Amino acid sequence: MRAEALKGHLDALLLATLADGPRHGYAIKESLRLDSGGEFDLPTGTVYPALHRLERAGLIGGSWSVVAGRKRRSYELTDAGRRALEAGRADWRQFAIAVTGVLEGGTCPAPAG
Amino acid sequence: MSRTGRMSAPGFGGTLPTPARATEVTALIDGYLVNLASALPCPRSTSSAIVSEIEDGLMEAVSDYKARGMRDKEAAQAAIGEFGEPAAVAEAFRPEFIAKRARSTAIALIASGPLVGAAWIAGAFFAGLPPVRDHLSGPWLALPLVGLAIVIAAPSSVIALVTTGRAGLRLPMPPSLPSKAVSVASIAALAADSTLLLMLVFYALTTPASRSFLPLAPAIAISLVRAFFAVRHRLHTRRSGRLAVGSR
Repeated sequence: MRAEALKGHLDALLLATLADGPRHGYAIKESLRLDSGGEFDLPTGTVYPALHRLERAGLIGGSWSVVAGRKRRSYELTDAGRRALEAGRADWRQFAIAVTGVLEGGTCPAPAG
Repeated sequence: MSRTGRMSAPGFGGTLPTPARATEVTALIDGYLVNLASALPCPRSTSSAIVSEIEDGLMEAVSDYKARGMRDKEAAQAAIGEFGEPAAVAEAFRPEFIAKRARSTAIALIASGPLVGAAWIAGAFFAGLPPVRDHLSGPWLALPLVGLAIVIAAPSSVIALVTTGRAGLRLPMPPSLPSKAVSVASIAALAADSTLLLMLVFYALTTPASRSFLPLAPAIAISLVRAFFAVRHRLHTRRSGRLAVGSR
């Protein structure tokens, strides 16, 4: 899937990859690819700047460590990031239900929760 | 190019020993990182950290490809292909550098505004300058220009700060807005500082030599420092713009 198709959803998707704990940039990219069944195989040049943008916004925090003799930057959700992820999930549910209602026809069911 | 120094990230105080790698992998990865470092349009401290981060990602990718059965050189080439051209990766970082610079400049302007104002008011009071005692005259007639500059700088700085923060992720806005807002703010702050300094110089040239301007020394120093950073911000912004145009 092209990166443009994810426009507007990339931030929430990146936050979701960190829901289970800290990850480094490449692991985040791989998580996105694997969890989407290979659909979201983004160019790496898109992922790292997006992570820096989320860190600047205070939604994720980055920290350095040393792994196998290499410096590694790992990211984890901040409290604001967890709230943003929940908001992103709720927005997506509402959006998906509405789109499904229109594309598939029939009455749009009320979003759960 | 030696990797020493180039790979240092903040807080590590230098390059750490790297594990032995196959020569071909080392040559390919290092060549990629050298090209990336030279293409990143940011200060060396920032680019070193990014290069370290990308290096780690590349090596993880190489390990992944090797685990899938590729040979060293093949795995390194596949990893590099996955990351994309160094120039393209560097270009993808450009909006982030611009936003970070806009944000730090906006914070500096907002923080220094009250300090500059308080220093000039206190200095003028203790130096017994005419604007404190009498009606405005002579060079002090330009004082309203300072007020106008502040009226422009303050909201522009706040706009830059808001649009480069969390709210900026959700606000529908042109990507260049934070940069333009902080440029307006820094020009206005420079105008305010320059006007204050010029008014003082003109007054000093037309007043008896016995008058002491020592109470204004802190205000002069702060304004000069702020003017220096405002000019530097303008030069960096113009250089980034030229690089962006040149890279298209």
